[in-house]
Amino acid sequence: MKKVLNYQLSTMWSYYVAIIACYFFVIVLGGFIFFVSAGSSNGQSSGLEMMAFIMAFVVFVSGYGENARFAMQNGSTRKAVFQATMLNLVINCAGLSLVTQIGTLINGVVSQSGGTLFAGLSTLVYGVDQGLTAAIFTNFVFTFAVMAASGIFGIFLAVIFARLGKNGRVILAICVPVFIFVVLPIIISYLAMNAPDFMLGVAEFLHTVLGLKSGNPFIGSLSFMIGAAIVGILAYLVNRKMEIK
Amino acid sequence: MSSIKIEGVGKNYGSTRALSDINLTFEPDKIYGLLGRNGAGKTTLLNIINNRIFADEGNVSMDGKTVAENEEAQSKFYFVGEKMLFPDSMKVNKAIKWTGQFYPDFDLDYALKLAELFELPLKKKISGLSTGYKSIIKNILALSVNTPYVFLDEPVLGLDANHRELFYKMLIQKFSEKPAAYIISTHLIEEVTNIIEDVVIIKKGQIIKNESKDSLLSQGYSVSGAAAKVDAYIQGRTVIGMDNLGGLKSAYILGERQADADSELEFSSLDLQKLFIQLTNI
Repeated sequence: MKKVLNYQLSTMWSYYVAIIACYFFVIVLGGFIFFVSAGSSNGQSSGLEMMAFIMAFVVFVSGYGENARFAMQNGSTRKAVFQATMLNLVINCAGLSLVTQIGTLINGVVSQSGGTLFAGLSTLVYGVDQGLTAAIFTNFVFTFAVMAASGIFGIFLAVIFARLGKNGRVILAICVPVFIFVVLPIIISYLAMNAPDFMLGVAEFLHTVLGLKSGNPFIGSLSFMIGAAIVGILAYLVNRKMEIK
Repeated sequence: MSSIKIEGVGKNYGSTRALSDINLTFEPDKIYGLLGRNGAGKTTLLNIINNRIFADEGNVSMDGKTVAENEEAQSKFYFVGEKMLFPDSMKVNKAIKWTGQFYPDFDLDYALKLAELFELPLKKKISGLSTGYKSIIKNILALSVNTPYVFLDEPVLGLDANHRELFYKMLIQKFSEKPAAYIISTHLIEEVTNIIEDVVIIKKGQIIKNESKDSLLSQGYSVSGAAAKVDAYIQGRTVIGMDNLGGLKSAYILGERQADADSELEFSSLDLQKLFIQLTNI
């Protein structure tokens, strides 16, 4: 498992270079806008976290199959590959989250976002008034949790892809975005019109588990982590019978 | 070193029976020829042993423990399959380096020496290599890992005659210096005849022969000569095949050669490829 993890970690540096380059671009752009607008820029969010969430998804959805095949070429088992991937996910979500906090802090200093030094996503969503250190820590945990959930969803899709045949992969590639962007909104709007009480219950539930009701980002973080763990268990079960042909 | 025991292994692909009740033992420090026609089930068997796919029935074990999802057992195997499992963007030198990280007995100097002998471009991406060079990199790794069992599935695919000869030479040299079990699955039977000790022939997912090459070839002989003479000679004998060329005929016969054989007929030992063709054509 250690060898697989070492290999997986060695493949991650290029992603760090990419995300740091993106952050640098955003920070320079933010600074430029602040400069040309003579300090009147009042941006509330740099969107760095969103970039990190998408990155985590893309990194793991694209890398899992390739890493698994290489590790199994070298005598590793599916279990070892999965364990190493989980550790890789934790290490890199923590690493990318840390990089994101640093980026957000620098961006805050450069562009003076909303007049605050640190305008992290959790601060903006939950509206918690904290000191700088607490705000960075809270946002670190929140970013880590969402990134882990995003990454593990990527792994889950990659594992399903690896199990499916060519036709199954095409169907999955079509069905996932169609479900998320077409079917789900239709279901939601249908239920909102025909079963408003049910939808209010769902909204209430989501507000509670995401910590929005209590204004506590740690509840939201915990929910994302529990969600990630559930998807991780499903991915593990699917991965157990993955065939490499 | 322990042997690999394959007991009652079966595998289906949909309604196709790829392997059926395979019982086999691979002993250490021997070179095996795993022979079979296209679609006979050779690759499926190698994939099952090497934990790439799962058997539907039966078990493959080593020291009484199943080898599927067994990291300890799998670390003793190295499998060169037809498909490259290396990342497309990986360079040849990185593939060598990383394989060395996974196998503690990997001989890096030897791998680099082989790369030089085969003129393998180390800085090129694997995806950019020709079919022949893709086979070469896989073979170099297989010869350098120093695992007790090495499985080679069509190892000379795409190799020119010079590289094929060099590969067989290096394989024999490696085997004599550091014996291990090499299981070679190939269609080029004539080329491996002088290398292999044991022969396993698979036909339609079933093992039809599993014995030493010498024992297999001593089970019969071939007789050639005028067609009429050959026809007369083969009466009452078990003929597994015949070739005709004009008025000449060759017959492949199972059984012991008769001492009072006709002097106008030419007798020779069975040829592995001929025997294979006859056995798998029936």
